[in-house]
Amino acid sequence: MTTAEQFWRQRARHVAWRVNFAWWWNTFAPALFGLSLALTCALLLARRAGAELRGWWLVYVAAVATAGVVSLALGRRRFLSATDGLVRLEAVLHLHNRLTAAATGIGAWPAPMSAAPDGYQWRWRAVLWSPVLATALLVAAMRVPIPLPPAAVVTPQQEPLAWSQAQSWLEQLRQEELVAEPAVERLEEQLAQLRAQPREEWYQHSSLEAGDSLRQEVGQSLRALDRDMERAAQTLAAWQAGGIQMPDAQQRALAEQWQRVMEGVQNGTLPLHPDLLKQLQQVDPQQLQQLTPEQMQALQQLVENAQQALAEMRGAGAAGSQQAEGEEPGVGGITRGPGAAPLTMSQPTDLATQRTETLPNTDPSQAAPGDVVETTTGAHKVNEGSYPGATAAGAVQSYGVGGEAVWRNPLPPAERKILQQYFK
Amino acid sequence: MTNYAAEADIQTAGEKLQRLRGALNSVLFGQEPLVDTVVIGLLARGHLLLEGLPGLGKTELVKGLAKALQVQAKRIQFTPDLLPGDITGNPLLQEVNGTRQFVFQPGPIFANLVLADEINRASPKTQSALLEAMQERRVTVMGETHALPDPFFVLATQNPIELEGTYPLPEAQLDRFLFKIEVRRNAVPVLERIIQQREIGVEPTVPAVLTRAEFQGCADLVRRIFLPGVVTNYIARLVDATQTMPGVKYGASPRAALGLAAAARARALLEGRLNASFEDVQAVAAPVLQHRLVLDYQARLDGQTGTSVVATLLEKIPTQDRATPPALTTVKG
Repeated sequence: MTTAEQFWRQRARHVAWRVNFAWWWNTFAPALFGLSLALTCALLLARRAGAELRGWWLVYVAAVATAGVVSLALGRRRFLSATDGLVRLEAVLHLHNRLTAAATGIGAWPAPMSAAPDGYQWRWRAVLWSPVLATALLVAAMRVPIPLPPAAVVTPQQEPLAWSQAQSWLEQLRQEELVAEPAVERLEEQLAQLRAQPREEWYQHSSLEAGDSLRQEVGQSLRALDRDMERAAQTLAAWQAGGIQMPDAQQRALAEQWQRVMEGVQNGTLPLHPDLLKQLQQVDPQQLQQLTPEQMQALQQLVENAQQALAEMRGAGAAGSQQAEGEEPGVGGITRGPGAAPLTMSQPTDLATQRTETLPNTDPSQAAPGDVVETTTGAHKVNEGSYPGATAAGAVQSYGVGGEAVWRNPLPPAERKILQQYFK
Repeated sequence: MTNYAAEADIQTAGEKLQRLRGALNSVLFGQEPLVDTVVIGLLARGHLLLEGLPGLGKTELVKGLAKALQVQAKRIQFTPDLLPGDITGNPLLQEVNGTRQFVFQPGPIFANLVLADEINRASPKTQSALLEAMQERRVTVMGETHALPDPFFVLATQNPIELEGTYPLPEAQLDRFLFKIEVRRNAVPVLERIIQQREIGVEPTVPAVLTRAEFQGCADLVRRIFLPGVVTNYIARLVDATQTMPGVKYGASPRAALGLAAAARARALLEGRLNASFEDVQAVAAPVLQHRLVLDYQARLDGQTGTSVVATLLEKIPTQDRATPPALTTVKG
């Protein structure tokens, strides 16, 4: 192969490669843009869902590679061969088809040229639109701010506190046999309806409100029953104190009071247990004087037991109504404890604070106990001439009460006048 | 491999043809392209139709050609009363060996170079007498066929003006002319040269530069010029495109494609090359195709001619049957 032939064949291959790449790119560029658009949508959705992005990128790379192969297959029918490249060159350079003839074996190859243009020029807009748009789309898909996905709904594992408390009261009422069984069952049925809801709805507003209402109903009924039992105890105590010398008017008043108590414990939301009610109803207010001291004492003991049971229940309820504080501050939410750290004076809470600094309090009137309001430098003024007199060893002259804060708020005259009238 | 022309053959033929060109250019001043086209047409063994105003040297060219090639030339002045027998020849009753019989007397067409002057003035019947002679290179009279001498060329002329009383050549006869050549008027310097070197009534002296055999050898060499496949494809696409060109009622025939290929080869030989090229095809496309295109009424009304249509065709059809990718643009070199 001569130098001239080598030159022209190499040049022809270059021309063919250039044209073939352009044809391949002509098919591949729209596919690249389409795939990038699809990946953009996928990335945005994945970022919104908080999913992993690496898998999408791998799929994209595989799809682009496949599109490249398919574009090669589709564009191949338009590809130029090296012989076509020779024809292109001789047409552009006006070589009178000498290259084709020489390749056929007719005539000599023309001398190599310093510049042998193929007559083609890149149309950069047609070449670059696809990769530029694809890059812009993908960068936007990765950079555009997207709100974080909403937290997944956590299925609560613990029922609301009000339900547990109401359940506790009802169990105690049944155990102590203080109230009638149908009333307890009715309340338990309401509680069962609340528990029958899906767990995800337990802490919805309506559910919590219904639970609070149920607990409040039970609590009020317990207090009403407690008041009735208190009146019954007072009535019995008055009878016992008055004895047989009690005036008739007072006797009638006590009898009426006893009657109201009986009506209350019988017709209330939580009516008294039939056995207990039967024992109390056996008492005839007109013939109380005829009760023996033992009978009176037994009756008082009965009422007192009921009062004690009710007091225990109410006490437990009061304690249970308070929110429990964890050892560490929570992060908010319905199942993660209160958000504020407990204000305890025990061990300091470790908040992983890297830097501590003192917060100045420039308003002494709002100072809390323990705050340093003011520091001065000076010497104590001791009147060394005064004599306090003889004192016993170990005695103190003044007593302070710790833990108190004294607030002094300077009030304007109008406010001070209103305050004085209020406490007058 | 086909026996293609060798470099030495091309060189030898080129020298001879160069002498022919020089001799003709000494007859016809300032008409080098016309002379080249005529030589190409003759090398391609084609008949030529020269169209131009009177006095531009058409007849002188033919006469000079006959002298330069040392071949027999005859001139037929076509007139409306010219009969076919006046061209082909007539059988005459003669006494031969004591018996009377018809003896064929060859007409003026029996020559190597026939100048059919003002061919469009003869009747269609007389014009058609040329059909067989031009295509088959033989004449049949009274059932007897007579071969024409070799080489045989018809160089017809026609006047584009004074068309009253003329008979335009039918398409079938036009198609038998390889070239239709428009003879253009001379420029002022050429006219000055003509005035200085020529006189009325005095024929220029033309040297005999080639023998008939030498010219036949050159014509045979044309057939051995390599025609690349891409050029063949270009010719085929060009001729095919004439069928669908706007303004063209009827396009060129396959005979036009053959003529285009032969003319391209002849031009390559005249240029001293071993192969025909795109440029050769483009150079001879107008004289080969322009008279073979039948334009529709609207195109003629718009002032289009066969030449303008061929020019549009050459601009529209790319040399290489390959589309350009959208990502690339073609730069005009």
